[in-house]
Amino acid sequence: MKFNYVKYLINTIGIIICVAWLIPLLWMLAVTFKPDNCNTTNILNWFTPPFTLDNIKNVIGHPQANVGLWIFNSTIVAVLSTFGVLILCTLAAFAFSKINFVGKNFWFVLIMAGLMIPREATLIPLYILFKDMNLLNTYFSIIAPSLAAPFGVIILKQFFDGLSESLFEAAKLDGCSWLQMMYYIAVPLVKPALSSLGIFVFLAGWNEFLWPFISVTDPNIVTIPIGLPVFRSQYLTGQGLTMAASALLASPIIIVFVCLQKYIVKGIAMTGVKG
Amino acid sequence: MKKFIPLVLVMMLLVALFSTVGNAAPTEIVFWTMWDGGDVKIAKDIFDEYNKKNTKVKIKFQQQDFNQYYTKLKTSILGGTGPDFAVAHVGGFISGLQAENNLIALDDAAKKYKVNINFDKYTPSVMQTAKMNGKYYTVPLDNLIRVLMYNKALLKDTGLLDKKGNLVMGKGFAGFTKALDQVKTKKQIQYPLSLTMRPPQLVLGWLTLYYQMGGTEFLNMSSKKATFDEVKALAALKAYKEIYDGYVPPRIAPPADFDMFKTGRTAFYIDGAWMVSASAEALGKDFGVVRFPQLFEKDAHVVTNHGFIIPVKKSRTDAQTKEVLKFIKWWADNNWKWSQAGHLPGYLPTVENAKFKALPYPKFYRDTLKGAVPIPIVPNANLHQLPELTAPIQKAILGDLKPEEAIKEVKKNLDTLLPNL
Amino acid sequence: MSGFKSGTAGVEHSLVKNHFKLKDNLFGYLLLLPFLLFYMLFTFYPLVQGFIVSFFKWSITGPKVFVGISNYQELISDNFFWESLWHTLGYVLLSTPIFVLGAFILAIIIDYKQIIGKTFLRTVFFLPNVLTVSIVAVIWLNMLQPYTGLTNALLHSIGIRPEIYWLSDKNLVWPSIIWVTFWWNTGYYMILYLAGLQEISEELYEAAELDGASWLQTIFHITIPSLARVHVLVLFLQVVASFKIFGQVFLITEGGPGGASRTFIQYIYEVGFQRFFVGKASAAAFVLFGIIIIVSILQLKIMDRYKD
Repeated sequence: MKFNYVKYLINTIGIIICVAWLIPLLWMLAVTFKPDNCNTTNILNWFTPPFTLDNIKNVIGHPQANVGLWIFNSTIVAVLSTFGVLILCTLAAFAFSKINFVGKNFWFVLIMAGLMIPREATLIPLYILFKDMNLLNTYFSIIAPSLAAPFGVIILKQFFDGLSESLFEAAKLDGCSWLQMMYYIAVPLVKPALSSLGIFVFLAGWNEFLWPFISVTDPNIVTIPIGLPVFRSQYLTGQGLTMAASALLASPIIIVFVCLQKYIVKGIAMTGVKG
Repeated sequence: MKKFIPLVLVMMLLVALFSTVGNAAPTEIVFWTMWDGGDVKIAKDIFDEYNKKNTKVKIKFQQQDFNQYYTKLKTSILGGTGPDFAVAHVGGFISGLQAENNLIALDDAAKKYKVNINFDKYTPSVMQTAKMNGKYYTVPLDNLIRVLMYNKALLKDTGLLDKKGNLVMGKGFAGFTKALDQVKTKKQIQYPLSLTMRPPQLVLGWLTLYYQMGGTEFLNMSSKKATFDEVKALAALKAYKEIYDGYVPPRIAPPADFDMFKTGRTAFYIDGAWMVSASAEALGKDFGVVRFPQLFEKDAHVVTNHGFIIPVKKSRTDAQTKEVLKFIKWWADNNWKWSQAGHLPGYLPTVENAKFKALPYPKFYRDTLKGAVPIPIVPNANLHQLPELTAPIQKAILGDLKPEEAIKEVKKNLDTLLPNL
Repeated sequence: MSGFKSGTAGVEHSLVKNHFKLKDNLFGYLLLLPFLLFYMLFTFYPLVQGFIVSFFKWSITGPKVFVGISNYQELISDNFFWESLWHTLGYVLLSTPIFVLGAFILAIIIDYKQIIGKTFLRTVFFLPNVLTVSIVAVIWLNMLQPYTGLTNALLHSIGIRPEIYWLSDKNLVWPSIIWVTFWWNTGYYMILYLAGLQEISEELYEAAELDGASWLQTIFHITIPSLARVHVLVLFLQVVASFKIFGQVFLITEGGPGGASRTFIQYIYEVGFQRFFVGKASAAAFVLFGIIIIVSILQLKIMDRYKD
């Protein structure tokens, strides 16, 4: 009897949160698919005609927007960032977690420091650096500053730390090298963490605004966030266009998330030897 | 025959060669602006028209996010990846850029490239502030002002509309408040006025009232002090607050100000002239507009301006610079086109232009230019965006700070800030 | 279970162990090198440059003028510096427990054995996180409008008549910002909790069930303790992130009303990118940096002690 009560409560709370979470998003869709003069504060209006595809059409056909190109560029940036960060951070996090090397603490603290500085503070020096290297207006310039992501190392190290020592001791006794231990034991066990990190990094790469905006002046490598302002108006009128653009341009990430989220599922116990 | 064929071939080659000499590729110039929304659409049309008419030049119109515009402009000047010419707000930023030798003097350039720009025909008060070290570093391409918009349908039977359906109010502050009272009582609308509450606009409104009350020089950059008449400044702030308290929905914030006017919940709307086209579109034939009223002794209105600037750029050629100047001149001669976005022109002869006169709305508020007061210049910043002013003024209007305290704070803040600039 | 600090290896004496240690050092650095390369060049070097600039007056396109500590002195005498710092500190203290607890609750709801529509809920809870900051701002700016916004319209429809000034009342603006940021960002931490929940063995729960434990008891005695690592992680990340809050606040309230919601990064932004006092902005950024470091060290020390 007690158990049923809990089930009822949890599911109800889940539904309430779901509704609260969705209302603003549904509003965004309502503004996207209804003509601008419609009153979207009346929820009944959301599900009754008139509807319009004009906003979406205007986004795709906008004379100053090259939505296809932006999606292409954003995809390159996000995908390359994700692979780059996962590789760099997995190697570094494994080293910090499992290997004792001289100066380990020093480097770890130094890396954590990078998490604490706001991007606004390093913007101008970064710009001058790329200018001096003659690498402005390249994909590399957009991606490179975000590849050494401290939070990636921190997250992965936490999850590597949680893996049982006995696993690795057994492997060492068997004569495994660090590389083999990392690749065959550690990495598969932190798949949920890797997927989580992958989602975050993809998202960050997809949505990054400030640095690409300041450094990119070539219209050919414009990504979605820095192209999006074309659709907004500082006077906050005509929002159908802005909302349509956002809804459209957020859809690729939603797909990525839906695909990757199955790796964060509580599945068969795969914890191996767990203390 | 055998000798003949090579000759013919050579002839054909020569003909082909000479016929392509005349078709040189068009000169490309890059233009940056922070405009968006309705402004940018009209601007793009104007630029497209120019490109079509002038096949020898191609202007690449690039719109940038307005929040980071100046940072991007500056870094691009530093990095050499910037535009050939751009829009900037006349005032602090331009003087700041010029002080660091980042801009080309327009009159020198016009003389050098023999483009006849009539510098004396732009709004004189604005050109005064555009002059630095005796040279002009910008020309205004518009005058940005506030206007009073109204809903004709809501004002019917209030006695405020004349036979043609245009607004008629009594003069001065009393006339304005009386009109608002009439709408309140006759139409049962508790708060009939939408007033833009964006802090920069609030400051501009307060400054306008200050100058209308006969306020003198606001600040002095030689003495680096705020020199405004504190009595008048306080009176202006109190007057503005009186309007807000009595007639504006409490604590309204953008975009609700526009939304309420658009949906007929308020009868009046004071905001920048850039809202004219969106408001007109929403209200259709019920839309009316007049100039921001003269509420006190002097006919004054604080204006801000967009101006053309030519940043220093090593890779820009003489041909490109000349094309930029030619465009600037063309813009002045065709300034009425930009007024389609609601703005008043920066080039004064436009006001007599038949096409300008034919535009549906600017004619109702073009008189604002007579009392145009350019915003006081603060190096490297816009006065009306400084938190030193916007915070106390906004707090005072919202009732979170006494007007006397607010004026004191403004003076103190400016006196602290100015020596550092 | 160590926190972020691991003890360094003790001094080894035998030859075999020394040889092993050399290999460790070599391999450790080998793995670290790629990350370090990018980090030093593109994060640390600009950081150092920024620090140096804080001792100069510079406006990006003009000359650099050395002014010693005058930028720092200017900060101390600037009211807006203190005000915005105060706002940000308050936000950190208030938002952190709410976000950590909220993320945990969202995760256990999804992870609950008899939850209906698990995948759907997981997607919905995470969805706001995929939106870019300017869109989040436009959505909530409209939702929270007085007179015309959806939130007030819904409240009116259930009988609450007075207009609530979510964004223009200085007492309501921070709760509004916390709510918007919570809606936007909690999905991120929820994912970390979900990854952590994955690792807890089923057998523990089965055993508890056999012993007659209630669901709530299993949460307190199994779930929460097993997630200790994730608690530390989320807490740490959220504290650091909340010190850097800026985008959504700036776009929704512009720091208003009357500067009541100006955050510290907004202050840096205004000084550095609206007035182009790049040196002074850098100085402010390093003050923030110093504060975050001190807070983080305190946090980790407390965590370490608590864990024993």
